[in-house]
Amino acid sequence: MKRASIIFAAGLLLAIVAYCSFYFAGTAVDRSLAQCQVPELAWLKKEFHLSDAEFQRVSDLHAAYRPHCAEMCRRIASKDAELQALLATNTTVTPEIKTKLTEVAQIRADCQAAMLAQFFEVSRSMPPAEGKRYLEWVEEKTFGAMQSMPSMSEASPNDSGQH
Amino acid sequence: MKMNFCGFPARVAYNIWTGTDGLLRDHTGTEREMMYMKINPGQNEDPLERPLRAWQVNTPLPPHFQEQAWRRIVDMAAEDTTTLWSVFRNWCQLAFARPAVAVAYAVVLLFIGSGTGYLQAHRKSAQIENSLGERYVQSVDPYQKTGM
Repeated sequence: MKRASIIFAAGLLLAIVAYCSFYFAGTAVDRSLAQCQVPELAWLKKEFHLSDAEFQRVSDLHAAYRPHCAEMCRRIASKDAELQALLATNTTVTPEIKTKLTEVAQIRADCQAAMLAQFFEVSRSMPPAEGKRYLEWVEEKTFGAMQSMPSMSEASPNDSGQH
Repeated sequence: MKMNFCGFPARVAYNIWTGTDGLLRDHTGTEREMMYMKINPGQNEDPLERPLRAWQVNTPLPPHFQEQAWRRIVDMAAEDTTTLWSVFRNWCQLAFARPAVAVAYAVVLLFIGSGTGYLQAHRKSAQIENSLGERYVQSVDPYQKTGM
């Protein structure tokens, strides 16, 4: 019985060792990416096969864009708060609300334009094929997400009669 | 007929013991008249049998002997009852006695362990990469950053 127990335990141990080896070897690259100082850029380098020089250019562009992006965030939050305040005190669409909506839309347009300019510049810093793939991916993730609102035809039939 | 009893093959010896009429066949099949050898129980008595019959045990049994004996019997009976664990244990004992089965068991577990590890690693890698991609998008898209 002792021999059978040893073989049984050794088999289980072997399976556990094999599992851990494959798991840790398989996730080593991604775990090291996640440990980087700027993991998202490290991921970009790996995903789009950037050389060190290309990665440096992309990192510089990213660093230059960050303050602009932060400013955009601040303006969006500010305009949004103003709009919310107007909506809380009015029950009709007043000229002030219309003006605020226009300002919010203008900020959104500015933001999208700045983003798009950044994406184009980053894609130009990459090898052409990778740059094209990057643009498709990032546009789908940003503009695609914005435009993924359900259309009227996809709305529930019960909703159409209530408007 | 490999075993011999007093120079006779086993079958012949058996016939002698059972008291056939003395006409026996030897190992070549020839019928021979042999000395009637029906065994007289009195003559063939085991020399130990008489002293053993006369032997009397005077030493007293240890205390609770009977109780302990019964307990051991009950324990052994309980061990004999078939449980899933005992079936599994017996199966392991029998199976792993064969080296081929033991090696096959180790190989199968090795494959299961490495396969599961590989699949889990693949899933985890995809998850990490996906989350890093999302993080990049959030770092460049103010609307995703503020959740608007």
